[in-house]
Amino acid sequence: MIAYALKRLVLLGFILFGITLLTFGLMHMAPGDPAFTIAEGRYGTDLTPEQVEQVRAEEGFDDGWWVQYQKWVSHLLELDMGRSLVTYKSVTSEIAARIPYTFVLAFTASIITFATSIPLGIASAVRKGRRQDVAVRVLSLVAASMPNFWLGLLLIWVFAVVLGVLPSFGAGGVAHLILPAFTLGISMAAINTRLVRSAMIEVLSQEYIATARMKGLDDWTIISRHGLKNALLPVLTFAGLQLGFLLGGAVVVETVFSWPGIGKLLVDSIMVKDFSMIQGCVLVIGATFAIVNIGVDLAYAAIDPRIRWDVDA
Amino acid sequence: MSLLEVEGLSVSFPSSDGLVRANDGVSFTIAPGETFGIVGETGCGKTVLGRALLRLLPDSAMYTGRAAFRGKDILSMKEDELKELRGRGIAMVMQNPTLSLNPLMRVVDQVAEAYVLQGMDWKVARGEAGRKLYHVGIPRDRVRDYPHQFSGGMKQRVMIAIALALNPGLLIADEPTKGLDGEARENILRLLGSIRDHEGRGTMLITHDLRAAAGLCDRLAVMYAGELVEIGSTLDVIGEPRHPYTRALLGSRPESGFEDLPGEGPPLTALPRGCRFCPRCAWRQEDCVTGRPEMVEAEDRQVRCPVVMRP
Ligand SMILES: Nc1ncnc2c1ncn2[C@@H]1O[C@H](COP(=O)(O)OP(=O)(O)O)[C@@H](O)[C@H]1O
Ligand code: SF4
Ligand SMILES: [Mg+2]
Repeated sequence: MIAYALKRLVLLGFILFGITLLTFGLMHMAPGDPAFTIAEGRYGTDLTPEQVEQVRAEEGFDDGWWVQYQKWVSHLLELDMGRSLVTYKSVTSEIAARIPYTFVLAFTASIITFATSIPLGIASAVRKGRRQDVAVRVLSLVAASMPNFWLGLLLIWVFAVVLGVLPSFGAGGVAHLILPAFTLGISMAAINTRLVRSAMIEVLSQEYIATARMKGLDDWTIISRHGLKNALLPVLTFAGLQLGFLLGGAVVVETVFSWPGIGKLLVDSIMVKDFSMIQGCVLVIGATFAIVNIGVDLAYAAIDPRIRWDVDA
Repeated sequence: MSLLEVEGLSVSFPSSDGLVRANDGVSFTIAPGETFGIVGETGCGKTVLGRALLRLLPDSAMYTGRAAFRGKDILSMKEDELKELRGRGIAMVMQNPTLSLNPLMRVVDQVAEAYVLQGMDWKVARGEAGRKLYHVGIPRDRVRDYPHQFSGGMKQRVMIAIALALNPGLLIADEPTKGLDGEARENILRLLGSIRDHEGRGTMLITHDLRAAAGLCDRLAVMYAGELVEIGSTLDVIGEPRHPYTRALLGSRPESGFEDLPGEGPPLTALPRGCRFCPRCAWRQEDCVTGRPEMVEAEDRQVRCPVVMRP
């Protein structure tokens, strides 16, 4: 297990290195000129080419990409991601201020997802083909096919406009969290319900479930003690990938609800071509994705004894 | 009183090719303390029979006839009665232990669960399970391992420990030596021999391994294409087989020259009207194809072949 964990951590190192390369490379290939954005901030919109060139030389944009990359990474290692090209605030502290919002949103959405999808998926699997199962399947299909922005607008219309019971905008108390969290959680819950259902149906057809029945165990014990853990393995595999879905969804949902998380920061920065801020957001989102996926691998190994042994051997 | 009484039991499954008649008019009894063998080729319906007695078949299974355990009809049992029947009444060493053990649970817990069902708390049950595993030949330092860490023979031992721990009235062992050879097979046979309980528990040994059955069973039933074709004491059936299929089976045993039985059984979806063994039978007569032969009983032996039973 320890050897396995170490291997995963080394892999994580390589992935993070790759992410910095990609982020850096993408920013350099992206259309637009950061020197221009900076010069605009400094001298106003009425620019001369000389002013832009001066900024370019000062900021080191003329150096080779490798020199620029090294400089960027060495700052990065000190958690310094530079300053916003627009507001001049520290990118690191700006992102750090936004992360708790995205975390709370994503965490709440995940709770909603698991709290609904696991019981619904199991109930549906156990009553496969019966009325409850059909209802769950139809509902989850409908919910899974609704785009986040559309669902968000729908919820705003119902709960904020028509009923007037929940705020539709910004951050504040728990009330502000409800609509964005459900918008993000519902489609994931729908996808997960289908996943839990099919995993559970698969598990319930296995021979070790027949053994459990042969012992004279009751249905609840069979499902909770023998079925659930086995059924959650494929769900867990998918959970890492779903984080991508969650983070991507957060960008949309935060924008729709003006929720001040890192997704909204990213979109706002794109609007004003704030290259260093975009770079910081992309880097943090990418690194989060990588770290959580390695975490999922480790969790998987902790649950499934076959992994530990196969890999260590 | 018999422990198990099966009378005219038929089990069939609807399928796209028509009705699969997996068991057809099966009748036999098992007395307390008796070891009863069911032998027959792969696919003849042995596992279906064993699982029918525990009602472990899928919901699509259709039953007719009667099967009674300690006088109670199994086929009409409700869920709560089945919970009583399973484990304490009848336990089964499942075919294919690799698939039949929970991959995510330590083997000691899979055995301990049987004791927990009998009212012990987990701690005591684990101690008891460790002893039971040791008894079937699993070293003490391996009990906390997971199934994938064991060989096929060891997994079979774990499966046997589970069934024994349930302390059943009837133990069904489904192909316990399948997939094992050489020493592993001998060890399992020895273990099965050592756990026989001549007083109380009955045993039903399902196997395609005639020699295993001959060594362990008091009485034998030979199954062919979903029906029993010969039932008698092991000594009689092995020593003086009557039904042409039994004779052919014994002829195909490795130690008697391994004359393989040519051809294969009829598909269970399209059974012939007459004797099911007819296409492969060296003794067939013209009237064998017209009607299904009845079981004929003589001298403590039942044989489903009027030709060889003619006085
Ligand atoms: N659930 C099922 N649905 C349809 N057919 C089945 C089912 N279970 C078993 N059968 C069929 O019943 C026949 C007997 O199977 P089985 O009892 O497993 O044979 P064996 O004697 O090798 O144990 C086979 O032809 C098999 O395909
Ligand atoms: S009834 Fe006829 S075909 Fe069938 S086993 Fe007897 S002799 Fe052979
Ligand atoms: Mg079988």
